[in-house]
Amino acid sequence: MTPAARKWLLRAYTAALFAFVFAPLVTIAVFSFNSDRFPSLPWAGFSLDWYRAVFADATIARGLANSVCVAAATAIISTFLGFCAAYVDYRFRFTGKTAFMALMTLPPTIPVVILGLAMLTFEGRIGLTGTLSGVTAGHVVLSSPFALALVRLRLADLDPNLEAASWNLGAGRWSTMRDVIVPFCFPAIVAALFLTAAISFDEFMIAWFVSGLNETLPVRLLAMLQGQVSPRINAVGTMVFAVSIALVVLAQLVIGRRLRVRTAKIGR
Amino acid sequence: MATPARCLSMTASGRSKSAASLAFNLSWVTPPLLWQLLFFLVPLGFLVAVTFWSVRSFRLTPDFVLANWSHILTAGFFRSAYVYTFALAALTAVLASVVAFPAAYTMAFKVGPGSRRFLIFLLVVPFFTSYPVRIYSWQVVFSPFGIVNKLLGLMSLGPLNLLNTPWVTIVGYLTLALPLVILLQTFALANVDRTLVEAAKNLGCSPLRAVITVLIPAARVGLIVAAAFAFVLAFGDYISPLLLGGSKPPTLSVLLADQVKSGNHWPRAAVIAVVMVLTLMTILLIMLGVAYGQGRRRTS
Amino acid sequence: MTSVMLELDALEKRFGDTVAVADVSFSVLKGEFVAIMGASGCGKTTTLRMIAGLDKPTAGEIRLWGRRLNDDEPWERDTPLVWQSYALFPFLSVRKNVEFGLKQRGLPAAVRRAKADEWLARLGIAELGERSTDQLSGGQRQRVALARALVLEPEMLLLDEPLSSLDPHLRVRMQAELVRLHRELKITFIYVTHHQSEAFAMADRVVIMNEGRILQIGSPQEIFRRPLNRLVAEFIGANNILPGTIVEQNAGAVRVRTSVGDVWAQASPDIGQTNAVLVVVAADRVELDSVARSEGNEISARVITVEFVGATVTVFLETDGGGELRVQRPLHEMEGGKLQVGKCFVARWPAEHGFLLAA
Repeated sequence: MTPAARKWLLRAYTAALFAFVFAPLVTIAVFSFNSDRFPSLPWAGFSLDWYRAVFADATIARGLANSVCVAAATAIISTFLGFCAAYVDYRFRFTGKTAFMALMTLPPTIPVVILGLAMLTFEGRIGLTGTLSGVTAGHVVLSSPFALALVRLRLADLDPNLEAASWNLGAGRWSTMRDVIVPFCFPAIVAALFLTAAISFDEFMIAWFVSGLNETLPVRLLAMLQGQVSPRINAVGTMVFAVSIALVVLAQLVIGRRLRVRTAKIGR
Repeated sequence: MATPARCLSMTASGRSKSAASLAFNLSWVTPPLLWQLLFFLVPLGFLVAVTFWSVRSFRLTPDFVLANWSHILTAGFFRSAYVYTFALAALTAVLASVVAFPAAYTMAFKVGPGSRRFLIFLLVVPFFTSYPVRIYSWQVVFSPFGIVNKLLGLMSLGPLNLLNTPWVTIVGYLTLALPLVILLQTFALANVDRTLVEAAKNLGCSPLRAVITVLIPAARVGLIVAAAFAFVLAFGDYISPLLLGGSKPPTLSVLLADQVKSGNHWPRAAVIAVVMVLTLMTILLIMLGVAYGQGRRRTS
Repeated sequence: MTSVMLELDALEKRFGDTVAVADVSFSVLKGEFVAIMGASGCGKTTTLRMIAGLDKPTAGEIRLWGRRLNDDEPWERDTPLVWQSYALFPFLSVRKNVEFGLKQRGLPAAVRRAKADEWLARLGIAELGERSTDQLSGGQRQRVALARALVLEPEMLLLDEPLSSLDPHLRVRMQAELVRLHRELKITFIYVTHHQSEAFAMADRVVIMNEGRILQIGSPQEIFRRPLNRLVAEFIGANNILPGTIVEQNAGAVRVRTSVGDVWAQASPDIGQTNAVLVVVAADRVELDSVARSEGNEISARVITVEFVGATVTVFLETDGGGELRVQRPLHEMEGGKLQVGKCFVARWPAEHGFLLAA
């Protein structure tokens, strides 16, 4: 096989694999507009009926409201905590720092089922189960490592002399944080807000354990899924997908310049 | 002589200066530390403790019994669920690694930097969005009324009962793990010194042999890490076995959720959780040991 | 009568087991241009950082107008620094960069803007106010860094190798500008560099450091003509350093046996009859002739290499005994095809132009 033919074969394979990864999203979106009750072929015609039904459903509306609240709170808290941890990693050296950083970055390695159960049993003792605050607490634990990663990545590009230069020009520690570090990290902070919001908005498992009657949207969604096949699910699913993809895309665009520089250097 | 307009202490002692510095430093360490301790470490530790508690009249009561452990570990359904979960996760790790590799290879070496950026961007998106929705989509696609069966029907085959089988569960696992595995493999391959592969080709290796004998060993660490992540994701996932696998046989995560939902038997669920964590930690340690162990460690 | 503004008194800085700066003491007068010079790692930048408060001395004291400065935080001092990498804030425009220090002092926006504009104009970059810092050339960034420091109207400006990332042509121009600025502003400049030519061209006084210690302090002329030890002599270059032994002492002169032969040099009161010495003869004090004339020290030698640097020629010669000499003459003296590799000359210098250093 010639090198050129090999290259195109590889590219075709990659395209097929990406199609596999994206197929579920596409089919859901397509069928949300299908007027046929059963999402299948042949396509029965374009319809917005299911979207109308979704908007009329009170349980979905409540779930959506809960998800938005939790996502917003999660975004703010986890971005703040992620920023703190990233700055600590960047700036300080102390005994126990490795343990500290391990603690900060460990959550994504623990299956969410287990985190959810742990949250349930613990928060049960302190009375946070069944509350949105309880869900938020768990979501923050899950998503702050990602905020940490984004801010840390940005801080890696910070000229180490800039803080000293700021001190030298008369800015104390807190002023330097306010006038130099935070403005410098601003794109990463914004991206982290969007990303952690997306993670929280989509998060099912912890919410399932903890939210009780205050269901978030993914929990409500799954309850619906375990009932009969309802085309309203397609509509809800598409909307959920649209919201979270919008958040992630925004995050990527904001942090995009960094990624562009780094990935361009790969394979050189 | 210019003096700053702001009042600056010129008489403060050295001791209070370093106190101010300490206060500043602690302000950044404390919030994340406290939060992680309170909502991550303590709950997990508490979970281990709960494995020894008992449920009396439907209420969780502090205790020290080994009943939960013996009940779960001796149960047939637990053991079969364990083997099943482990086998599926291992299969996913292998499949994901193999399936992802040509795509990662392409992204690392066979596309231009602009396309690579775009493809990475595309991969990050599903990684963070709507996993339950995507699995539901597969459920629909594979359902008796779904597209696949409709297509089979056109060819006068089926309808096949595709749902509630391990294979469809694996499709779900792959949906979960592939984006991450492709990304990690791409970075691992791209960080390999290009000249190694070129030297191999120069010495007469066919491209395929160069890949097998030079590239893969060189990228070993990243490839194993990617597989490890796939294993962890598949081992702990709840949604795919629930929606696609039909919970028959159940995986450990389904078992865990059942113990919670029906009967509120949290201690038993906790036992399952602790067993899962121990298994994962062991597997991770082994895999990372293999990754960093033999031969020279390559710094990326 | 200029007064002593800054005193460094037995400063020491340790990083763990490494001693970066040891027993550094010198004073700086108000309005002086002092250069601290030495090879990489000699402790010059650490010393500068201690003056700015970015590193704390492990021993010794820094005094500004007699007041102890050691415990002052960097932001409490009035010692703006021009950084080697310029350290401009990438998220601020040029003007906002310049205004930064003024903002920290709490000056109102209108005042800040006016001052920033004044200094941008003074440094010839008025039109760059709204640009972002990554659109600037190296020379422009340099000026922004200067403006940002000078807008604070400090008594003392610290500069850490600010010209080292500029190309040589620009560097020479900036040197002249810095000297001009210094004269106009009449403030103290403390300038760190590893380029000897830079330090000697700009400074009123030069502090030479090596491995954390001061080797010599003096005006460029003093150091050039009278290096106090071998390291300084080698550092400055353009010197013949001839190891030898004293064989005869006669009034104020000594005869030293060296690798190029016996030469007469000035006796040194500090160096007794400890026989091993170094004879230092500046390369530009040696002239070349075709015949011997029995004047001063005369050494016959053969040309091995000739180097042309601008309007100066450096000739490297070797004696029959294998000793080496270098001679520096202006270009016009050496023209006319006199110089050829392999040709023999008489290198001559008066005895009083050679002095002794301890070996």
